Amino acid sequence: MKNDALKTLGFIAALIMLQQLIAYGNNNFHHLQAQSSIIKANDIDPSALFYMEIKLALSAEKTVRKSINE
Amino acid sequence: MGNWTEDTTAILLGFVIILLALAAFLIVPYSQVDSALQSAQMSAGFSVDAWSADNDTGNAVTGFLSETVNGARPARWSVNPLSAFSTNIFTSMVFFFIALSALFAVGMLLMKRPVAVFVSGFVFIFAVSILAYLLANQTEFRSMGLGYALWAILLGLIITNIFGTPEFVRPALQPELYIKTGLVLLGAEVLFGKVMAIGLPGIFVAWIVTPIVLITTFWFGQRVLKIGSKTLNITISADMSVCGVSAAIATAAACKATKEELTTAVGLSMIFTSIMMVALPAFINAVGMPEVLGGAWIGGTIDATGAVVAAGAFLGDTALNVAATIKMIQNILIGVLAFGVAVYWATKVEKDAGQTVGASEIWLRFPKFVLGFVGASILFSLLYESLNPNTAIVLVENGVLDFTSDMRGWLFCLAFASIGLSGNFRELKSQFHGGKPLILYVCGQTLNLGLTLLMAWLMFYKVFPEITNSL
Repeated sequence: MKNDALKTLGFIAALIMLQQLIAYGNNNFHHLQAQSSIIKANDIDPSALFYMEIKLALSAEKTVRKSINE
Repeated sequence: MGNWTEDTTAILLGFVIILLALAAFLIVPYSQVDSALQSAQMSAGFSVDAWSADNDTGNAVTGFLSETVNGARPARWSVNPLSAFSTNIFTSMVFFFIALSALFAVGMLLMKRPVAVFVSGFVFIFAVSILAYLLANQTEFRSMGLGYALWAILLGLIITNIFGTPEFVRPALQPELYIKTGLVLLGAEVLFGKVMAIGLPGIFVAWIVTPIVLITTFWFGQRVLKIGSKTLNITISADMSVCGVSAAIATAAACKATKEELTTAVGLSMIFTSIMMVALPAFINAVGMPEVLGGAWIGGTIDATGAVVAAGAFLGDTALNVAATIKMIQNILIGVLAFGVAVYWATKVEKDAGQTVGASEIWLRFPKFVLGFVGASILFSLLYESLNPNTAIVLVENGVLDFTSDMRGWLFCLAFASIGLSGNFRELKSQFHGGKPLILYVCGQTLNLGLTLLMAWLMFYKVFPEITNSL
């Protein structure tokens, strides 16, 4: 029981460390900082699986189709 | 009741959701919205996106459905996870749980499996799925593309390997049923009319390179690396060459790969997607590659659609548009892929050497859910093309498919939670014996990068430069 609690705490600690590591990278490395701010500003979900889940992907197709047809 | 299998049940449940969405989001508001759009589109400067944003085409039923499916997911959060839970979320969660468990309880009844034990176990899987969405919506995790699929598998594995999966949960561990129902819904999103969006250069980059990379990587895995499992080989080859997790899910279901094999492919795809989403635009910027070429390269090589959009947006609007459109054309290839893999497995892989397999035997082996997947794709492709284009965007794209894609996300999340809860680290570790899956992925992706760049350059700058100039 005590062992299980320790493992659970270890998992939560690992999650917090991962989050802090990504936050550090996003705040201190220019490229990551620029990319995360673009993701935030455009409300992009980088893990989206299919084009229907992303409004930007749907509007991209319409923009491209329009510019080719013109 | 006849003999209902997982495949036929998945087709039925998938189409129940599709019919519900069609009735609420298309049939009921159709005449009103269509006539409003017909008159609005006559005016100068008409934009369907602006019209859609200004006009609420919903009704009480669509509002309730969207609020229940969307509202049951924890919101975005940064520091305090409790801030992701509003007061309304619990009502949505309860309604959504009742609806989902009732839907799958019908499935259990049809397959002659006990319903009461299923529902009690389903509570647990639903809770793990909510936790997976909670972690996926954390700001930093979200920015790196660590999505619900990864968290659902990881949470399931942690629970089962630390505490052991409770016995009452086991009857609800039905990953294949959730996945196949989700795939029928995914079929509705595979709209073949979209393939023509960027014309021939896009088709060459997405539909010529991708099958070459897929077949070469599979061949390389069998002949050079001598990977023991053909199903693991094709699942990794498909997820690397086509569109990541969604392709892995469709291929694994079509060739009946094990849950450990699917987990391996999904894990590899998510890790490399996070790396490539950051590294590829940085490299393109560093070498000063033109936006159209960079966008086409990103669209053809990064696995997940979301990561393609994020990487394309980093380079600029033109790169984003080209990248997202190439990826969309590649996404649509998933229909052909699932059907092709299912036919190849039923006719070639599962037969003994020298054996002649008759039509009835092929039919027996063929995974029937693929027919639901392809059927939904054909139905929606015809429906989309037959409507007024603006009505199709407002009612089908922004209405029906918005709802079914949210439902599909939940079903995949339930499937990955079930996979995690029924797997263990030792079996998963055995998949990486000799590092072959990793080598397969890296070699296949290297070929993909080289071939896609060459094809994109040829198509956008040598064969169809006029299209590049118009972008």
